[in-house]
Amino acid sequence: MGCIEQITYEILLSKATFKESSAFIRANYSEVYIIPPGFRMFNVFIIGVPPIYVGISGDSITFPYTKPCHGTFVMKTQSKEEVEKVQKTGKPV
Amino acid sequence: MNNTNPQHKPQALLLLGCPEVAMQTSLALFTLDLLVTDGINTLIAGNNAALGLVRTADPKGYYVKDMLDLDTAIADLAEKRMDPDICYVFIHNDAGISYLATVNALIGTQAMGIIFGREAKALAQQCTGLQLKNIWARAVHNPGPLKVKISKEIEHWAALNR
Repeated sequence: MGCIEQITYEILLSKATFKESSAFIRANYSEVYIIPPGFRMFNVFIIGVPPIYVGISGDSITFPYTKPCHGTFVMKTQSKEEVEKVQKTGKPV
Repeated sequence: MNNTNPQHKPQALLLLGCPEVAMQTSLALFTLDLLVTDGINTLIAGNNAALGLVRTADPKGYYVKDMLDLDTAIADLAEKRMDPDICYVFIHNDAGISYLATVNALIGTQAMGIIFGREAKALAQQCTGLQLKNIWARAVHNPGPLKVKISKEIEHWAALNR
């Protein structure tokens, strides 16, 4: 359950605070959506302090991923399906 | 929110953060003892390391009856398979605030942060700024001040939920 290692991803920011990860996504993407805490993306449930930002560029999706001991990572992966889900259910910024 | 069903037996969830600060396991077992003594069904969730420390501290399971993997607990809360009456989130770093905010958004009642460690004051101020309830003490080696606050908090919560 919930293993991020089951997807292929790129880490854009590591061991950051959640606030830093939010600022990074806001600063680097023009297409940004707000998702609620606990939003299911792939097989994980996104942890974070609202508003939780997700950046989209084409079929790539960039999101925060928090681990209890290592802080928050900003991760980027390709998924047309998840992009469409966020575009459909997220709140555009 | 109080459950008005007289058959309802209150349930609590203790969500453990990174076990790097030794204080966490002691505080969790202390909190668990208070809740269990009050007749509250209590579940402990954490990552493997955090649960391993709890298991080591209570090898015969005198206090700990139910444990759950952290990711599974978040999934169960998000998908409404679990909705505890209270959730205490143990916090000593920034990630802990993210977990508290998430749980607070997912459960029907309230989540409360129990904040300790060297950065406790700053973390508590962040939580308060986000309107996340919390109790805190700059406890690193001495759990005394936080024990008092936890006892008062649980006494208050249990009185409201009897």
